Amino acid sequence: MSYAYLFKYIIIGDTGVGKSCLLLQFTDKRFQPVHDLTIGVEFGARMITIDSKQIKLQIWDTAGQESFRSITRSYYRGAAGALLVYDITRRDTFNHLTTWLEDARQHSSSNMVIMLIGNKSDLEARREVKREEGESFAREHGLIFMETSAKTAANVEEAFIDTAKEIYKKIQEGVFDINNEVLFENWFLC
Amino acid sequence: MSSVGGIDAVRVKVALEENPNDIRRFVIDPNITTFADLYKWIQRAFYIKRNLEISHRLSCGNSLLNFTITSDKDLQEAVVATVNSPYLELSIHVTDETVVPNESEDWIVLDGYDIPMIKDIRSFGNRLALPIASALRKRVENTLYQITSAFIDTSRKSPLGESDWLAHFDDEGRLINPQELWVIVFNWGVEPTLRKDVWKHLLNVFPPDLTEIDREKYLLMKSKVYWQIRASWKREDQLPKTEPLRDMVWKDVRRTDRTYPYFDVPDEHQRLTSLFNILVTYAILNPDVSYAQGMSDLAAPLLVVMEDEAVTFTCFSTLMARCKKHFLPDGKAMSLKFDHLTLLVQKFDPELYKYLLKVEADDMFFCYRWLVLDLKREFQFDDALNIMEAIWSSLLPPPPKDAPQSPSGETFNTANKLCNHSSAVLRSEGYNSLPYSYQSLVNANNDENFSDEDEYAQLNINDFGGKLELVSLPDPYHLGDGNPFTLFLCLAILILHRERVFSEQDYNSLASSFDKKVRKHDAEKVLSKARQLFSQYLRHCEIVDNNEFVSLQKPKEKVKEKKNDSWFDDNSCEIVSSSGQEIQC
Repeated sequence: MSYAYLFKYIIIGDTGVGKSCLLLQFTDKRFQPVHDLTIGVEFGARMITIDSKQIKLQIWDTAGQESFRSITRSYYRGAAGALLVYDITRRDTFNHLTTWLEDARQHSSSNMVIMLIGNKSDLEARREVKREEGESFAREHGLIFMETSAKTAANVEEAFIDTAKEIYKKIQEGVFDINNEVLFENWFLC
Repeated sequence: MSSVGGIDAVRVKVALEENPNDIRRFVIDPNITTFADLYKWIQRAFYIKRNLEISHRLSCGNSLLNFTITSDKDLQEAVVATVNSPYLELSIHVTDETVVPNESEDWIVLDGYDIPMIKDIRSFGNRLALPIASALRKRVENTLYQITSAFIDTSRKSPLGESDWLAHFDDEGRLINPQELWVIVFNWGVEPTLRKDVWKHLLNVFPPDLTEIDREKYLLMKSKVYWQIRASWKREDQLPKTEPLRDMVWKDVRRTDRTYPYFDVPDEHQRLTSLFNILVTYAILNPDVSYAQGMSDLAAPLLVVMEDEAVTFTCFSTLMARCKKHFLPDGKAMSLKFDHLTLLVQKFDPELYKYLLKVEADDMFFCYRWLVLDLKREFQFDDALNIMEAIWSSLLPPPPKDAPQSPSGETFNTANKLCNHSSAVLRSEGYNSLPYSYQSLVNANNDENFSDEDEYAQLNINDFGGKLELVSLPDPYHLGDGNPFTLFLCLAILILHRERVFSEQDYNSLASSFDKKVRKHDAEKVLSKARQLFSQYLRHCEIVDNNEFVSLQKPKEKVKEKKNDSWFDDNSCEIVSSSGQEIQC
């Protein structure tokens, strides 16, 4: 199918926070309670429409624990958006956000749009990280923030689409260098 | 003598009743050996000119029974009764004059110990010019031919079974000539019921040459050590130290192969706890690699097969001795494998390579999981067991600790094995260069899945000289860091799906399409294709260096002589240039 833009996303965050489940919910609209642990990177894609333009999202779902750093660096190559995910029921996954953010900033374009995601919002009873803490972290680091549930699909569409909107906005504002092939591999209006 | 169903070779041990320490060992084919033959051979083996009484010694519980053998029927019954024993044990009583054996070498065949090695066959043929009845020689040759052909039998369809397995142990239970068994495993797999035993040997759990009793003791000792280490980190005062590690491992254990019936159990089940304990203990004992994601995928099949936590740990440790490099942060082993896989695609399917180049997938990063897990996750669990066996059987047991190592360690062993079983089999068949076992494999696998017209089926050297930049492949010692077959499995998947690859417009959709094939690849097709490609590669190595595996037999010198595996390059040049093609080296 033809598309106007191609955005590459990367999903990062600690192991077991639900990265693969978010992707599966977004691409296949289903939830798998026991998902294989991701080795290396897995790939997904979906077409969305923004401002009546077809945009293809290419999504790279990475392993939470990566033992091969040189491949990790390649993940970021050309990424226009990143979903940085933590688990609201596990404080440690929130505590590690700074490290993930440093890694992302180091290996990606400074214009990459980063969406902070507090996942597993359906598990309110087991919540360890308050919503306000997520909001505050996002504000402090210039990220967009959202709490999602890959299980109930709450906010999953929004998380992916809002990130795309933000990228699209940056293109319209001329913030992104559209000649930078790294960010936009397809610049044809079809 | 009528056929003795399914038994191709029987190892016979004959002792003199008067002197039980005077023993001869040899092998007969029960399908063609008559009582008269046996009688004659024993006479010759002991240099006995007069009459004998032959009896079959059969252990029955604690008692030892003797049955006199006087006819073909008796012999056949004795063979059948011994089907589960390492030997057909015979005792002979001399009823007449006995000739004391002398030191001369005029008896070759039957004075050897253990089963005749395949590699001995040619020399046997030469030495047999000594005064032995030609009829006997022919019979013995036939027998030996049948035995050896069991290892290279192109029509064989069945996996390694109990009779093959048991026939490869001596009377004290030492494994003999495992390479012959591994050829069977490589080509046809292992009966699932035998895996528990066979895998321990395939994984080199035991030091070489242990008797059955010693192996049991060894395993017991290993298990005791395991339980001690496990107990030490499970102590209350020690637990806090390993909390992050245990959290990480548990997170992965509870999502490892949970759809497979063995692990389709509640989280609290002992099987999950065992897998968890194994991985934590390994991580504590191996701080250089500790725990990394993917290890649970490698350990799970071992637990399913061994059904014993401590034994699984021992097997896992030996498996990880080879695989831990996949998980080291320096990524060197993985980088090498990516590079070599790229080379293989470039060499075997230039068109596919060009396409991968076009979509910038020539780094092969999309095969990361395949390589880290030796493709375990690409197949249904039960099929993955076949894949793992095939990979392990293509590797050789490590040498004794004091043996010299090649610069790349394990790679030396692999090639050694290739050399051992292929060149040995070759020679027995009168081939000078091609590894017959693999050639027969190609024939055996040249089935409905593949036609000779496959454009990639033949490795055409000229194609590489004329159309593409000359590609040099590392030798089998170095290809894939000493595990070349895994790369050929990857190559097979890519080639079998080349049309799918061509239909994907970009890297992401290409990688994504392979992700959708997780646990869905056809193991039989992939194995078959991989063996075919592997055999082409080995054959090509042979064309390049056709001096009867000189390069394979002397890997150390090769490594010293030429860096960057240039032997392949150099020789390819020769071949290509002789055909008048312009090439660039």
